[in-house]
Amino acid sequence: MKRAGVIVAGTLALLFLAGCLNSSGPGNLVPATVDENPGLPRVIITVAGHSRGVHCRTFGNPSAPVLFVIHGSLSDMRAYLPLQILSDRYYVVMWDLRGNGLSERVTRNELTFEAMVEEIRCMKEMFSPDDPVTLLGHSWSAAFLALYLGTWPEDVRQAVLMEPPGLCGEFMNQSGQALNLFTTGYMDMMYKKSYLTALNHELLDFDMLAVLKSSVRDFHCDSASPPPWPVWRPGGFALIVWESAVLDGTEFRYDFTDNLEAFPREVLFVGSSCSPIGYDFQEKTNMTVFSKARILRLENCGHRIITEKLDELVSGLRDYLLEY
Amino acid sequence: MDSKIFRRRSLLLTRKLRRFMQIFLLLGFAGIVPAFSEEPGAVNRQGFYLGIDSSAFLCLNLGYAWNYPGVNPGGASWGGYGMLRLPLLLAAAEGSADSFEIAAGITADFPVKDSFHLSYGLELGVMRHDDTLGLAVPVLVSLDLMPVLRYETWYCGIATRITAAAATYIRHSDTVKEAFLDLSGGDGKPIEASPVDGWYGLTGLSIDGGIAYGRELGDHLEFSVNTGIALKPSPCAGLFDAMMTGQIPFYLETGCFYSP
Repeated sequence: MKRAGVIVAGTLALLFLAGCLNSSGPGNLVPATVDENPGLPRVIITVAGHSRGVHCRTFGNPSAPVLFVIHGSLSDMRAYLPLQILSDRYYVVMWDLRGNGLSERVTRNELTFEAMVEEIRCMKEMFSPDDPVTLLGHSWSAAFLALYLGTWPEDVRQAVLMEPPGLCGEFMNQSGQALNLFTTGYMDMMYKKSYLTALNHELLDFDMLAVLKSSVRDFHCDSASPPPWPVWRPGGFALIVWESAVLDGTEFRYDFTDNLEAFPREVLFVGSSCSPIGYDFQEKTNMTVFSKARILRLENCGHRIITEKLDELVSGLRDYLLEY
Repeated sequence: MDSKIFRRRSLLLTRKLRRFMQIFLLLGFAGIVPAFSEEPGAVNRQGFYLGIDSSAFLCLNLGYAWNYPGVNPGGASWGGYGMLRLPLLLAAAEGSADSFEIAAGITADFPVKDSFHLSYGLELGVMRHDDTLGLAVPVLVSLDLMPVLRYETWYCGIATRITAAAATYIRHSDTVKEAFLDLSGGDGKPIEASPVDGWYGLTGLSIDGGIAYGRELGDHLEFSVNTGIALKPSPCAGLFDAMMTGQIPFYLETGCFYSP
C-alpha cells in the first residue's frame, strides 16, 4: 500500500513537471528575439562565419549621411531611441548587437572583439557602402568603436565615444570600480542562485534584468535610486564573454589602442561627473591615445547619460556633428 | 540511562536505536545536514554553523532532527529533519524576513566495511523569494552522498550534493512587464506581449563537492567543518559568478553542536 502511494505520488509529480512552462520558451520570461518572432524588424548579417538576424530600426531619410547609434552592454537600442531626434540631418541606424537585445543569440566564438568589429563593418557595407559613416557608441560599444577606428579609419567620418571603459588594461586598472556587495539587489541575486541557474539565455537575460536595478556596480550619482534604463532584453552572455576576455584573474589585461593615434579626425568623448569612467577618467586615459579629441562634460550625471541628460547630450552632439 | 554511554554505543551503530531529538542552529549558506544527525542518544542537541561562500552570502538555518527507532533496514541508521533557512543579510537589508526556505529530509548511513560508511540524504524544500523580478516559489530537490570514515570521536568524508530547482512558480513584477512594452513590428505596428506567470520546470541546477570533517570535543560539544566547490553546470552561470565576485565558487562552513 505504501509502495503504491509512492508510485502514485511519483507519477503525479512527473506529470506536473511535464506540464510546467519551459524557461527557454520564446516570450515566457523575456521578449522573443528576431529569430523567434519574425514580426520584429531585422536585417541579416554574416559575421564570424554565421548568418544572424539583428533587430534593427532606421530613422530619417535614407539618402542622408548615415549615423550609427550603438548601445552598450546589458542593454539594447530601447534606451537610445530618443537619439532618433538626430534623424533631422542624418539617416539614423540603430540595431541590437548580436547576442544582445532582441537580436539573435550567438555562440561565444561569435562574440570575439574581432567579430564585433566585423559586425560594424557589415552594417556599414549594408547601409553606407560608398561613404564613410558617423559612429556613436556608449560604454562597451564605444570600446568596439575604438577598435573599429584603429582597424577601418577610412570608414569613419566622425566618432562619438560616450564613456568607454579604459581602452587598455592599464587604464582600466586605474578606474577603481569596486563592487558594492551590500546592496539589496546583489543579495537578492545571490539568494536567487539557489533556484535560478543560467541554464539557457532566457534565464540568464531574465536574471540580468535584476542586475540593471542592483547598483552592484556604482555608476550613478545616487546608487540607492539609479536612473531609469529601459531595456527589452539585456544580453547577459555577451557581457560575460567580453568581460572574461579582458580579465586575467582579477586584473584587466587587453589593449584596444592599436593605431588610434593615427586616426586623423577629431573624436568627441562624452563623460559624466558621477561615473568612475566619467570625464575625469576619460581625460586622463582614453583621450590621450588620440591625436585629436575633445570632451563633452555632463555635470550631475552618471553613466546612463541618455536618460539623465538627454537635452545637454543632444546639444553637445549637434555642436560636434558636421551636419549641424 | 547514561547518555554518554549510550552515545558511545550508538557510534558503533547497534541495531537498536532510540528516539531522540536534536535541535540545531545553523548559521551558514548550505543546508547540509550535520553528519551526526543520525546519531542516537544525544537528547536536545543544539548547534550552529557559520558559513561563507564566494558570493559573501550568509544564511541562518534553524533545524530540528530526529531518528527513527527500529527503522534500520540494511543495518543503516536512519534519520529525518526539518529546517528553516533564512537569508540573514538579505533580511537585515530589507528589514523583513519574507524570503525563506522550508525544507525536510531524510538521511541514511550505511556501514560498508570497518569505519567506512556511505551516508545518503534526500531533501525537499520550498522557497519563497520576492525581489525586483517578482515573486518566486521554487521547489528544490537535493540528493546528498558522503563516503565517510567514522571513528569513535570523529569523522571525515567527501561531501557531495546535487540540488535541482525542479519547478519554480514565478509571478512577474512590473519591472519584467515593462520589458515587454513598446515593441513594434517591421510595419511600425505595436506588438502586444507580456511575460507568462506560472510554474517553470527545472530553473536551477547545482553540484557541491567538498570535504566534511567533524569531531567531538568532550561530552557535550561537537565541531564540524565543511568546505568545497559549488558548481553550476552551465557555461553561462559559472562565468556570471566570475563576473560578479570571486574566481572560484567555493563554500566554507564551520559549526558547533552542544548537547546537555
